[in-house]
Amino acid sequence: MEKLGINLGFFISQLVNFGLLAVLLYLLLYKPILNMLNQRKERIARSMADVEAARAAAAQAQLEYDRKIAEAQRKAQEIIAQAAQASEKVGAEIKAEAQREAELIRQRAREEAAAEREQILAEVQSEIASLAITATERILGQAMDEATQRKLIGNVIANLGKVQP
Amino acid sequence: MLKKLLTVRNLVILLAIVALFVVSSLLGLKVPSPVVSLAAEPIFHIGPLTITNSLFTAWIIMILLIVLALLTTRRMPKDLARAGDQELVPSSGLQNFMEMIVEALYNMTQSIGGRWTPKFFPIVATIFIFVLTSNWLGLVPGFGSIGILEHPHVAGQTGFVANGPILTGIPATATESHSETSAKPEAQDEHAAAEKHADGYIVVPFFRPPSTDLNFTLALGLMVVVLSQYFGVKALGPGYFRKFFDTSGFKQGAFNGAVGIFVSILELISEIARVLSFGFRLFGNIFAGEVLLGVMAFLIPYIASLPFYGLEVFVGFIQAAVFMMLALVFFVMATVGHGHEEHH
Repeated sequence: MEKLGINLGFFISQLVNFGLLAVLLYLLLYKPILNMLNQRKERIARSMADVEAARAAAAQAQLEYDRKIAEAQRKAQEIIAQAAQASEKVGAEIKAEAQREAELIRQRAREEAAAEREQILAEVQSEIASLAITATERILGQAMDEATQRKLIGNVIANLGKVQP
Repeated sequence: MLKKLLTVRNLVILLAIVALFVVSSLLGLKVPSPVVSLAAEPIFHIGPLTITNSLFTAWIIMILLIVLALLTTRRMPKDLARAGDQELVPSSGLQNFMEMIVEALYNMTQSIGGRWTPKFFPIVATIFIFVLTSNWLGLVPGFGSIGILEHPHVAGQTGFVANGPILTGIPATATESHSETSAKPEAQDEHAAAEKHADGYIVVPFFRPPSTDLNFTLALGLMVVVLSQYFGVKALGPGYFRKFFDTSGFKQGAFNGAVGIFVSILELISEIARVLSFGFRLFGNIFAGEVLLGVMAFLIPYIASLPFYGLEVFVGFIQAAVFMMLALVFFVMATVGHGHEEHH
């Protein structure tokens, strides 16, 4: 034992050395590093989960977006169609109204024209009659009596009425 | 191939090596014959306590490792739960490196130790780190060569010879040798034989790797064996000790019972033998490596020991790993128990 250098004192002190070192390294090295590694692992796992969730959410949002776009397009189409229909209807109405009004105006104009002609004709007839009487009076100069005069004028007017301009 | 090797640079290196051999032999600078001391030598005293060089080196290794641990964890955030993500990123190469080592050791422990890992890990990791540092520090130049000159304790073991005023060895430490007057000539040594006035000296190195001290290796071995009993009891209760007093075989007759008792005795012996095998394996490998390097340097002073140096680096790592793995395996074996063997 002496030759091998084995000595109880040194033996125990090396044992104590090792124990001390183990405790100190545990406190100063292993624990902090392992805690750190665990924490890091946790964080990575968490962020991976977050990424997964975000990806799922993004996919969901994309789907929603597509759906909404399609719906909007459909609605726009619908609105355009409705508008076109409505405008067509309105156009037709306006056209009908216009036609109706035009017809009315024409009718009225026609009636007015007819009435005016009648009136003018009557006026002209009476004017012609008086003119004829006056002219005849001048020419004959009271030669005829009133009854003959009337007879003659009546003949003339009847002829006039026959010869419509 | 040969033409490629024959460059000017290589020729210069070759010449330099030859010159080195020639000059050193002309000056008589011979590497001392290695002094093999199985025991760690005392180097100084604190009060009544004698401190050996291996104990001193163990303290230095401990200080080194603790400083390393402090440097590693210096920039880690104190409150991990509230630390920002950026703070968890390793901030120095050292931290990264130590994290890698600790994680590798932890994973290895976990692959063998399973649910006992938190208990086993600090012990086996410390074994690995302590032993590895010890093994590799022994290879640092200066370890085992810088020390106090003393007269040999055993006749015939002479490392250095006074060659006039020059000691072939480390002249700087010659002043520290405390008993130059009462020297006896050592005729057995071949250097001493040549010099009439030769005084024999040996170097007592300041540093000696703890793994070349049986106190350290046996202490570790004993600790592992005792701890494996502790873990065994912790895992299996008092029933753990049944494997040392296995009388269950008597149910199947006297012969089986006798075999059981015999096996129990073998178990007990193997448990005790483990201390020795642990201690002497590490001691033998590392100590032999030191001696091998010394002898190689003595035979051919310069180039020849390089491959052995590489070998010793490898051996130092392997022995540390082996010690750790065996400790781990014995712990696990103790916790698993032998209960299933009774069903055979």
